[in-house]
Amino acid sequence: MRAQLTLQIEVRFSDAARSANQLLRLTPRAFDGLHVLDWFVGVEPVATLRRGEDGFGNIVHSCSHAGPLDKILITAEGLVETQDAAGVTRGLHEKQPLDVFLRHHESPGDIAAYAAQALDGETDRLTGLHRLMAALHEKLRFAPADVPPRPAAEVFAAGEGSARELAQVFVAAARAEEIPARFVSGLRLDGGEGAPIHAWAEAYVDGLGWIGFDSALGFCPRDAHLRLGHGVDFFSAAPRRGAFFGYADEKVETRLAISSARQASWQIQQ
Amino acid sequence: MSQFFDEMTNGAAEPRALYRRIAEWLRSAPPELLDARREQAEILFRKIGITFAVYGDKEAAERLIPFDIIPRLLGRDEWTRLEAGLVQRVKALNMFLTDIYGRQEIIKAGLIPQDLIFRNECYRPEMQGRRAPHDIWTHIAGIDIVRIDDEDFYVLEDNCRTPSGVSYMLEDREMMMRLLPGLFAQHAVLPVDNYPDNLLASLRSAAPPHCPGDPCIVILTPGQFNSAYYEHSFLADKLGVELVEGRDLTVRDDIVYMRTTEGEKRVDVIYRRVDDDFLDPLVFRPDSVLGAAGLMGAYLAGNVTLANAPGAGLADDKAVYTYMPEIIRFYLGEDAKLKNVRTWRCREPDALKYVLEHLSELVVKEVNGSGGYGMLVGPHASKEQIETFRQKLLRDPDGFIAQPTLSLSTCPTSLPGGVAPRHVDLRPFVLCGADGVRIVPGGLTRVALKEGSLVVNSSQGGGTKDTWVLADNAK
Repeated sequence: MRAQLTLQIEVRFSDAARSANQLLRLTPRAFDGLHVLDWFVGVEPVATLRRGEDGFGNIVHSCSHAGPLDKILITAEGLVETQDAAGVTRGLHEKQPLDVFLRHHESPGDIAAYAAQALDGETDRLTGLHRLMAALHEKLRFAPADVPPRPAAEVFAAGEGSARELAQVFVAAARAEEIPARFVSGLRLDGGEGAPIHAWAEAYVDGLGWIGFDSALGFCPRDAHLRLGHGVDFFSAAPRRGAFFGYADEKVETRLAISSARQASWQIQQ
Repeated sequence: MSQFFDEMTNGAAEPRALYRRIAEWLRSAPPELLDARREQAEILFRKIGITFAVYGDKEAAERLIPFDIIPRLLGRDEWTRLEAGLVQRVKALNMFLTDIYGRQEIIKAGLIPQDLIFRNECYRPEMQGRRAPHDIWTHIAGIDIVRIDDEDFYVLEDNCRTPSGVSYMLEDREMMMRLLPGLFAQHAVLPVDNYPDNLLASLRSAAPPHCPGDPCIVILTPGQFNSAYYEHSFLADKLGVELVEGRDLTVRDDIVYMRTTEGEKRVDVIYRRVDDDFLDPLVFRPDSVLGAAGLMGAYLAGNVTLANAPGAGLADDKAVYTYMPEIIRFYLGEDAKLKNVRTWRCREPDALKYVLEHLSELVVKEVNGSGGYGMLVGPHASKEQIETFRQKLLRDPDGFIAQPTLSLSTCPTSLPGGVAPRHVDLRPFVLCGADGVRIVPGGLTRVALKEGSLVVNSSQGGGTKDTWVLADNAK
């Protein structure tokens, strides 16, 4: 799928902020299933964007603004080409060993027992993970939202959650079964309902590598998932992390516009 | 005769030569004098306001750490040996951290299991592929040392994060000179009061390589509710640098500024007493208000030095500790000069089996714990405590190590009922700068005031003593 898209994140302050710092993971990194033909990240008011790489190999931009600030507008736009690789994420530069993705970042609570039951002694890891994704998709209702995730155990008990919350539950479940798993943030190019910024999980299968599992939608990422970055949890992969100094409240609005998305097809020329 | 090495008598009727004058003084001084001095010490400490907060104890939110007026002595020969060992150890610790966050040769060589490092909470993925300025990760290390005979020094644990206690080392010395000037004058005691100068010089040398002019150094404290806040303000005072909290710092375009009454001032070196997790809400815990947003960006851009470096905690992990002899041999090609206490890694099935069978004889520690919280001292534990620990161990064997109950050396200690031997350890402070390692002769001697107790942590009812390194040899 080839798509031209524009993502805008507008941060409004109820009262002028004195200064603000942002860390952005809004630049997709190319891999076997993704070509980035053109990409741009910008902020308004204009500030120096410093490009770097985080500990997981994601491309990050950081910037600081001096106040007074009423709002900050972050724009990421570009042209990408995606391929359906059945969720396999190959060709990324992996900076961290698998053990990092086995660390329990939060207590799995009841999720551990549930994962064991869902996998039911399945020895083929890939089959087991598909079973786990289906089970979680069945059990937890997808309620799109754009807020920081609650602890995974709490989401699991509540029975519903946003894409990022469901991704964290999947990660916790896989790790409880000693399967390396990580959190992925990204965008949906198919214009499906939900928050503009999507999230899913990736788990490691020997011989295949990292494979995406989207338990919110119930299938592995296809060509309509645009991958922005990964980390051990939501916060280490968050598309935007910001902090500001002042007395204001922050209100964030995210908009995603896809101006052209089409499938590749044979063009017959006479 | 006691089964422990007593540093004054060594089990003999006559004191060791080193302690001759102390022994004489203890024989001749009337008991009332000791009692009076002990009370005076407490009054002075309270006046100066050297307090220590104990977490989880409302009554004792601000408590004094008891001070014992009988000094603990080391001979110059003993100190020289110890010092060489400390220098070696800290060099190896820094090389180990440079390697782990760099090429990972020690893992490739198969000396340390990979999961032990990368599954560790103290390993910071954010630092992977990065180098600390001047390759110094642990600028200030506190190495806990114990003795069991008059020969060897054993390392009990390494503290590479934000070791505290150095203010007590300095205050205890002041106290001794005030309370017992006569006794002090009889001994040629090597000075420790240049520690602040050494610390300042080390921090200065660790400034970013391209830092212009005289580096601006600050101490970053979590605030007055931290248990070691007194020490933070004490050090800022002694060093003549600003004591700041996270809210006093701003980061703009990867440069850290401190707000002052004269406007913003660029900061080059931060001696931080805030844990990794709280340093930067953009990178670590998002809810932290103790650090500064963008601090890690400035650090990674090479515009500011954090002492100690983020991720340095990995090296003082109790599971990594067990590999220290191998680590020293791997990087320096030497044998460790300071011994490691025999340790069973519960992650290894054979060791776990042994530990479970001998729980009542061993000390079991959490790999990630510190300050004496969450440990089991087998010989002093009740049946129920041992049983709870057995369950904990079975649930998460990777999280624990076990050590034999060490027969820590004892020193004479003045108590309300008279003078009696109590168990002691020693925490010397090792400073690492770009221009070398500095150690003042001495350290913090901690003493377990309860009879028979082996836990010297101040949070568990330990006290402190002044440590005198003498110009004379012990032998």
